[in-house]
Amino acid sequence: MKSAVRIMVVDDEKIVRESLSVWLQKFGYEVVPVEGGQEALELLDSEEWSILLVDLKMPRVDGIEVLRKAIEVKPGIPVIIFTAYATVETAVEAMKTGACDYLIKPVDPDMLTLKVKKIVENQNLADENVMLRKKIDTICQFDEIIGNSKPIQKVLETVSSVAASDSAVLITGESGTGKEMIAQAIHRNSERRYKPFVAISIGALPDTMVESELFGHEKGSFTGASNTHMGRFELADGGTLFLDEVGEMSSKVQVDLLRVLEEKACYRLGGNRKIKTDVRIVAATNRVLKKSIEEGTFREDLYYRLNVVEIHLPPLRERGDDVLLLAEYFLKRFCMRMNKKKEGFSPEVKKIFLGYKWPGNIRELENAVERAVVVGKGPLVQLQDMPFGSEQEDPEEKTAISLKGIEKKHILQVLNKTGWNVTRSAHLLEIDRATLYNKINNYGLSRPKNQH
Amino acid sequence: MQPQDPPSKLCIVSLGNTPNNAEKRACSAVQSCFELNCEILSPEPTPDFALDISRDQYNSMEILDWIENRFPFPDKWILGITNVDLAIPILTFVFGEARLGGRSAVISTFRLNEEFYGLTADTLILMSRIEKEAIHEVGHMMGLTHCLDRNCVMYPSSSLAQTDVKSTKLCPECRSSLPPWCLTEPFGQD
Repeated sequence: MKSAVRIMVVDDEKIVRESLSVWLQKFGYEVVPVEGGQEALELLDSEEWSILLVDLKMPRVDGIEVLRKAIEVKPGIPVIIFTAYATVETAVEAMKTGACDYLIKPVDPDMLTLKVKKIVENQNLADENVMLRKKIDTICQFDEIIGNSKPIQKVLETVSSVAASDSAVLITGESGTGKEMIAQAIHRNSERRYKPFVAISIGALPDTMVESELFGHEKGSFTGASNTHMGRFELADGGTLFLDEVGEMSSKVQVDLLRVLEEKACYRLGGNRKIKTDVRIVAATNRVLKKSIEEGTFREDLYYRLNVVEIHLPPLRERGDDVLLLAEYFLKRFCMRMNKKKEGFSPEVKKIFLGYKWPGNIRELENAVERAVVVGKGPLVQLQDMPFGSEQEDPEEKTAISLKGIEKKHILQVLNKTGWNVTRSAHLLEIDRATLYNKINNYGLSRPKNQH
Repeated sequence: MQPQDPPSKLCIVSLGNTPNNAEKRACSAVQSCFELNCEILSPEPTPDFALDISRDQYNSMEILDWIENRFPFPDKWILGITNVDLAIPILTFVFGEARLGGRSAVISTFRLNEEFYGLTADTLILMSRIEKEAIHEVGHMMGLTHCLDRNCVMYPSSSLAQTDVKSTKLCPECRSSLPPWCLTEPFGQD
């Protein structure tokens, strides 16, 4: 039980304060016996104390006076008053003044142990709480959102101004642009940052489960509901609820969600108790919700509930040099995780990065870098380490290539390999020579000059 | 608050009518945990000087003072075993008392006895409790404070349930806090 717990034992009777001090020291606490109220007041201000154990009846300055002063000087300090002359009046006075307990001498050792232990545990939890809050505060504002490009800086400005409010935010943008990261940034920079951030991807859940996940259910409310289950609204109480892929919600869920947002309360499935919800909603979608409204698949009233402020995340291809910053960030992260050393990307890779359209956005870039770290050798990430392959082709062209294009390319490769020997090439391609000739003509293939 | 030097001996002395073999059991239990020479001294009378008539209990702090005066040998540690009810002024009772890192300790068999709780006397249980309390108090003399491990003999006992649950062993953390000269190998007996 070693700890930095400091206890002041105040009693005018030497035998009492010393025996109690010795007894408490055996728990590993640092105990200071103090012989009177006046001395206690002098020490109170000059040193740090975890708990005060104060006798009620003392000459000159009594226990209540010490308690009053202690609470004034160090609000929240736990003070236990003990006395051999217990009366209801003194007990009430002590508790009203702010004592955390009132004990009658002699005290049952088990009880005193428990009381002191409980105070110490509470203090440890409070200290831990303060430490964790500080840690949350030190997580840099937008540290994990990387990019200097104008579009992303504009997004961050909006995040910064909207975070402090409690307004609902709708984040739009293509898949893989980092919508959840932005939602977390809004949460971390809001007054709700010490409360939970709960995310739910509605598109990933079957319709029947969405309601149970959002609002919870009571035990026995449906087959398989073997336990009471708290919904995400309850779990996020006081914090932020991130609803991803809101565009995928069924009309039934849309109605229920709208009701909860309007009433700021929900009912668990099968329950009849109204549960108040204090959550900030941040929703996200890669769909154009206005189009869904026109098509009749998304409720207009819900749209306006969710879209008080809209933040549109630009796709990676519109973020210019950000792709390189992001790539460097992912490279460092994966190198650290896999214990590998990579200094950076070769100029060819950088060129490809800047020219590629990144249809999968940041997620695609992240995967590409991870793959490069896994398969790559040498200090620099080379083109052959990338999923685009070692051919110096335009990756956009590759991803957009047609079946005919692939056939043309493959036939040309085989012909080049055989030195334009049509018989051997036809054999390798498992087609007859006439077909190969036809294809050569159709695709307009011709033998390179140096192979004539 | 570890003792500076090893004692030449741990002397065990009964104060009043203690249960048969209590000193011997305490002696072998302590030796199973710590590298100490043990000697059983001639019995002393009940420590009536420490009686608090208003409570009908004996002040354990006064008994420790008396032990140190009665056996003024700086190189010897003294563990008293008594059958009277011990207490300190602030607490309703104590099972035992020791000077942390000091040379005197006392344990009481009064509340370790099943008869105190209206049950039938059980010598086996009583002896097991005496062993644990003796090791616990000698542990304090070695400078050990209370331990959070419920199985460790240094776990604080304010009730017999806690005494009965814990073992006669020191947990690894408490063993590592001991001065090197007092360690036995292997760990103490169960």
